[in-house]
Amino acid sequence: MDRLRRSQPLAACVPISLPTLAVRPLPQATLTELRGGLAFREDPAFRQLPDQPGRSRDHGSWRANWLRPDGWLLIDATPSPTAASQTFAAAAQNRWCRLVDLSHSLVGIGLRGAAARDLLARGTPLDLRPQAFGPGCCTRTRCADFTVLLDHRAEGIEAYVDAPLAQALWNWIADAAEHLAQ
Amino acid sequence: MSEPFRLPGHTGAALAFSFDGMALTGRSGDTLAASLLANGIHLVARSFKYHRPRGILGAAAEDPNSIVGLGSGAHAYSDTATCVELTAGLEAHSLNTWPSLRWDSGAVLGRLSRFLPAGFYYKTFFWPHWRWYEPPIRRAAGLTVVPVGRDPDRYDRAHRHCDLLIVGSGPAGLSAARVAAASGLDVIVAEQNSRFGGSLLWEALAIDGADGRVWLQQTLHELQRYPNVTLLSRTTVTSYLEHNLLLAVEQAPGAGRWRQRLWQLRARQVVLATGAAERPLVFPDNDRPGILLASAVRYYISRHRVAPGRRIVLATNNDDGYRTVRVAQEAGLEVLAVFDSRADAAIESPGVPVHRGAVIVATRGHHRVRAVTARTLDARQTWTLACDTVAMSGGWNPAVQLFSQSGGKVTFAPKAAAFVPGQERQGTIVAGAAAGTGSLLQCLTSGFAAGAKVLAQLGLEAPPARNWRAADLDDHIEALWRIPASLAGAAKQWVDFHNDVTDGDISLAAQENLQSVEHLKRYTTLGMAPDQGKTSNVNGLAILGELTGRSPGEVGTTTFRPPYLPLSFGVIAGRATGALFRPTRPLPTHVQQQQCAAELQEYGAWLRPAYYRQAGEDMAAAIAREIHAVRNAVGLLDYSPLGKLEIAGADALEFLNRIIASDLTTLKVGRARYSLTLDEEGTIIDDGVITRPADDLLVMGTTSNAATRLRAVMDEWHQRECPQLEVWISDVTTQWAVLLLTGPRARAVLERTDLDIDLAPRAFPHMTIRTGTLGGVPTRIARVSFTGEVSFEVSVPAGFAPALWQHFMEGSRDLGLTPVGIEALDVLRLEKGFLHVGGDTDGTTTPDDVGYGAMVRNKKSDFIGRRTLALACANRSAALQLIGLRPVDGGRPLAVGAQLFKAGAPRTSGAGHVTSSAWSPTLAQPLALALLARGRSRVGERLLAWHDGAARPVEVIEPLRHDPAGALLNG
Repeated sequence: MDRLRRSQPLAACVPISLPTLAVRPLPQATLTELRGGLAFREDPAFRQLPDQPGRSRDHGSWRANWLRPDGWLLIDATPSPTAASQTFAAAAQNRWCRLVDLSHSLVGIGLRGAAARDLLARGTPLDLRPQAFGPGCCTRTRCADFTVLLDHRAEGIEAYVDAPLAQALWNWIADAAEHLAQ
Repeated sequence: MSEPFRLPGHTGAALAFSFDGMALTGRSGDTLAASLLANGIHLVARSFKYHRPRGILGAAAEDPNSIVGLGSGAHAYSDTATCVELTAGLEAHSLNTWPSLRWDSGAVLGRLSRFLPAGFYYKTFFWPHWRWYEPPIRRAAGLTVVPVGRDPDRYDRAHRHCDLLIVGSGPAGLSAARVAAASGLDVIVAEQNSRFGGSLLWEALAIDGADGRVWLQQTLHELQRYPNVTLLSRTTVTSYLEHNLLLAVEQAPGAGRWRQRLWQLRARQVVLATGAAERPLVFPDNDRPGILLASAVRYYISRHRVAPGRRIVLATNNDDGYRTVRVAQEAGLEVLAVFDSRADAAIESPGVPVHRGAVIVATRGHHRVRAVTARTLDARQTWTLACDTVAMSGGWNPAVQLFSQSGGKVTFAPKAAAFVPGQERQGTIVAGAAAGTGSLLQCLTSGFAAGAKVLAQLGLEAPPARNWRAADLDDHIEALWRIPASLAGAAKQWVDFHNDVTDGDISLAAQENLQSVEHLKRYTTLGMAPDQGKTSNVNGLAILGELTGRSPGEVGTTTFRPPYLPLSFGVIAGRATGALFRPTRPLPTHVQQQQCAAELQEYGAWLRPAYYRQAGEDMAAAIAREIHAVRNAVGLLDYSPLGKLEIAGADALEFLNRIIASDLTTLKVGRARYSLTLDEEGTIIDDGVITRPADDLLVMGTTSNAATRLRAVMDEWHQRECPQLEVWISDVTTQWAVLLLTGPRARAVLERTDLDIDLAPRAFPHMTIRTGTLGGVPTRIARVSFTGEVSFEVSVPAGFAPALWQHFMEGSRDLGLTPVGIEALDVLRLEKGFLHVGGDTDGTTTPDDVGYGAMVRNKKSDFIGRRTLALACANRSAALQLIGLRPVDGGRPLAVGAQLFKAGAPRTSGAGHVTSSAWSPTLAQPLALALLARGRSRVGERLLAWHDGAARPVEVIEPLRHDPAGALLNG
């Protein structure tokens, strides 16, 4: 039996390019949900995580997004075993935290350009003004009919959505972009 | 002659448009109402009840009369002519008239008006039954025809946050914006009109010695330079909701783009500078076309250079109305007389006879006013004047609708004879005429103060106070709510023009002791028209006050509810139409499903195969073929939608055992257990299989679509009841795809892979779980069966599911591998008598009702729902219990939902109903499950089932089961 080949939900999508907006499916990354209890806070690895709600912390090849008081999403572009998983391997071994692979559960869409906020504001009631949601901020919110994680990186905003809804969100974004272009 | 009533000075380009098929010419920058008046057209509509002729009354959204149809076909919609911007080629037509607007047969209702007083619906149409009258009344009612095709227009919706939202761009709104803009605050100014400026655009006002329009241009120029200021024209704020969330509808400036956009604006502070609307005077036959609000006459003359008529009579009860005389005279129009109801009015009007203490007591004309008769209040003197226009001014109503929607209270100000904003509830600031201030200077000052107050509330420094040189006249008004009956006689005095409510209707309501303004509204329909009583409410409640010996303040107002103006369904839907209306979730193997010719249908949020049709097959044949394959070979189903919650941590088992009804304390690693999940009332809300792949990890299987809900329930219970337990709950439903192999050859399919798990029955028995690798990727395989056959639920990370499906299909055709849809699966489980939660249960079903009483009775520790099930009421004698049914009259399956009843009893007795039903190809007979009162004690009883309009005899039986000993699934 051959090794199973992985399919990508947005493989067939053509990136959207407008003067003030660029949208593309994000390349495959390792997405890991990190959960940790009180004991985990004593672990040195804990200090690699954002310490405020709604914030992310960038480590170059990987970053951590705050999800909830005891939960973070690690986004890592390095090959397995990823830098992020190695960072927390010891704590996980001690059962101070738990790593749950969500790489197949979430799909990322990158939005770049000045109109990215305007586009997302078509769907989300969140305050997306730079003073309220700038680089380093992340949040999980509703956008149109989708639950998305918005991760504001220095280069733009990335939206992560449940994989089965990725194509529908892409279609929604494409339609909204068409409105913006008018 | 084109535009016979157009005055010199309009700079707009000529635009062709039509009204009721007449080709007309208007000007760019006009409203439809202005262009109609420029063409001498006053008659534009008929009233709702009596079909009386109706003309343009006002200048903006307050107009109750001029609702017209616009466009045609799928583009058709309706709007008020005073709010419609004229565009080239606009097609407008009157509504609800036959055969024509001018000669409308519905006008006969006016002759029957003595038989149709307020409340006649309630008094007349109840015998023998309302439904006899409803169809013709519904046919006669309504204002337009709803288009049946798909709306071809495009709509948009957007959210926006700001520090300050200013509603209205008159002198008060712009003054507030100017103050706030300089501070750097994020400011939005929303203006309903196509141009900013409010009354500065058309009233003759001076600021600092110059024309007010100079100040307007300077201010707009300044605001446009601020990057932190957004000016939204053509934007009507329609709703003021909680937490300073306001909805606004923006009209597109031209054709070819989106038509409307719904803004959801969230503001830290809100300034309402919504202005005021003039009130009509209530006098006999005051509803004829050609009778306009005095301010509207000024508006059309000054803003649009249109003369509403050539010979004008002014009726007023206040000083402000006199401005109309000056504007009309300057435009070269003849003002015949002023009838001022105030006997001691001090104001003069050079060149025009002013009759103090006099009121209009009659008007003549049918499609247009032709003459008025006026009389002094003491009836000593009478005048009759031929005229073509009456300008009436009854005072001003501050536009408090949004303030009231915000939760603010309005109070009656006797001096202004108006309701003004009182106590606010959301920190809202009201400025300008909306606050009851009358003069230009007061508007500018209150706007500035509002801006400064916002800065102070946001901790910013306010600029020093400003002074302007502007008019500060104190408008004097003496309320006149209607003409005394001694002068009016039997003639009708119209209060609500759209709904044809008269002062006589209000009198009747008062006579019948309807003293509350809310009751008055519902009894007479006062204020219930599309204009929501913008011109009629205050007059109506004040008349009620006169009749019941109360002041308007004591009567109070009705509740102002959103929206301020009607919203189109299109803008409510926004872009959420067609494919964007409700996104569905395709399976991980969606492409493969299409390749297998699956009939895809929505099951909950998921798009799943109902069945796979082959050439020459109908649905029943396809389902039978798939069932046969499962019973004799092997079926393949993408089972991914089933929920998968991972409960991990040192206390995972302890925690989950507190949640579900099964006892998990004996669940060993590698084993699986079926369980029910209950709510706090002991009602079944879900079921599924719990597996334990590792010591500190349990995977809770849920029904499709239930995972998110159950995770929320468990998170809440963890945080609220047992936060000390070390538990982490993760939803991995879409991380893991599940391909179900079911049937006697299921094992053989897996044996053709490189799976590193021993598949022998003894090594891998029923109700166990194993982990390993398959095709180089991690896998979890559970031996759980919903079909009664040997089954393997093969889980792999979702991205690998398409390749695995392909591998199974290509590598095991010779084994008879057949893709199986949801419909076949449902019959397979019914053949086993397995429960389908949500189908075989309702909102009251407990475990005992479906035969799982022992599950909860035998569990020693606490779990959700246990306490309720221990109460006596849980053991109710008439509980609906799950049983089987056998149709006595032959082989046709029963209808799902068919009601069960005893012979001779009413078929709506609620004794029970069929919950699942199908033809069983395996057992060669129809199968049915039903919920029946005391069902288990009634086995053998004959009942009737209501099916397709007939009663079918059925026998209550134990649920039939294929392979009752379970030998097949354990194989």
